[in-house]
Amino acid sequence: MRTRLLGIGGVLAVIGAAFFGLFVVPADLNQGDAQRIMYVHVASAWIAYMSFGVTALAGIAYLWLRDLRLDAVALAGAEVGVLFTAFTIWGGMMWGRPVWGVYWQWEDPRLTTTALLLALYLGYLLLRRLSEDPARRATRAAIVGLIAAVDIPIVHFSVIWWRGLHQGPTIGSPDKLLHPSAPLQFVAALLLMLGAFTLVWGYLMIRRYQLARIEWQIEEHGRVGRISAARRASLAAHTAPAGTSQAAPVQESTP
Amino acid sequence: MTLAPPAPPPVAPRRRVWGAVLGVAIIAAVIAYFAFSGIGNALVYYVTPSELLARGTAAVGETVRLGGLVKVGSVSGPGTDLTFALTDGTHEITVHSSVAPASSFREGIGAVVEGQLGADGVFQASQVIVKHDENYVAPTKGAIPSQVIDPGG
Amino acid sequence: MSDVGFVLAGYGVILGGLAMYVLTLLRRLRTARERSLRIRKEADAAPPLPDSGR
Repeated sequence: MRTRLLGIGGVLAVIGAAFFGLFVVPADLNQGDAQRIMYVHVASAWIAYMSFGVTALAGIAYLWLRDLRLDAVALAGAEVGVLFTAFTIWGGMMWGRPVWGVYWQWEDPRLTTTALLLALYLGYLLLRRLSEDPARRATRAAIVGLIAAVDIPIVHFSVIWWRGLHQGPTIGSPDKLLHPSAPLQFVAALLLMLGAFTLVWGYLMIRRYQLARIEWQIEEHGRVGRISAARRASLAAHTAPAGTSQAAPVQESTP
Repeated sequence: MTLAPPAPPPVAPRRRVWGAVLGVAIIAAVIAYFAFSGIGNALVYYVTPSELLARGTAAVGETVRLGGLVKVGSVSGPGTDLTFALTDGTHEITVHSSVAPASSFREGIGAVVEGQLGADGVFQASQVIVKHDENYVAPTKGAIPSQVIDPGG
Repeated sequence: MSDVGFVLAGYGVILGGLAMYVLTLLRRLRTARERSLRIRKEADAAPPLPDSGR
């Protein structure tokens, strides 16, 4: 029930934040209306970082504590993170075409490392499907999740480290946190969208975690069923001769 | 559960394995593209006018991306027959393009052009990309679009 | 396409995609819960396993 409230609150907050970003805040003087995409684009990117960060931390915690619930958290982070990375790329393309003149540029460090981020976590999700042994799957996923997380800071700092097309951080760097290169109302619209996305993110994480737990219970049941069937068969093979020999005299005596 | 020993994991269905192999192959291809396309220019998305001119005649005819600021006062012609100068503050190169850039193109803004430097010193661009900076400006009364800066002097 | 068109495409796909993911997730969750419930009922109805260890 509390989770449902979080979901409803998140949806309402996203609608409110979208309304604020689309209709209340003025368009940027130079970029025009296209700049409004920045609110969903940047918020999606930060949520994606957070998701993959959770996957990495849950992976470390799993390797330490060996609790499969942590692996479910890691899975939730990866799937939700992939969704928000896709949103980031889509928003970026819809902004890039009117402002840059192109949807996409390979070899721009920010764009390419972001595409790599998406590919890495799609690979993470695919890898999970290869193994059906929960502990082995969780261990492998934790390691791959950790390796993939290396790309998160690379994506973020790519605009500072390398020459590219993508602009540098407006508020996402230490020196700009207090002095963003954007008017306060633009920052407010971005933070509003970030807050709204965070609510929805929390809801999605909880629901995806619950789904993983139930699916794994079903999986576990199937495994137990197979073992039971095998045991029953071997038990029958060993005890059947004894059972029949015991039963035979009884049958003989009845007629 | 006190089940022991644990059952060996059942073999994944063939289809699932192939799906995963395909996925891993696609990912490997993306990573390979990322890793090897940078060879020769070592993660340099564009070169500056100074860097291109420093190569001398070797740069003529080679397809490169050239980046800089659109020099104020240098833009002439319609979008489909555009001539302007790109500057990095030290050197500048005259660029000609027959492909119209995005409407955000204006003097003083950053731009990245793709094409070849001609023997006549004019860079023939097949694509003009407007490079936007990280600054946002709210419209206020009397403000004019674009912060006009001219490092070219 | 005008700037406004790109803005609509950007917001539309992202917010629409978010809504679709929520709905898909809830459907997956409902299916899984139903299946889990059915399995539990079947397990209760079935004769005790010789090795259930409970």
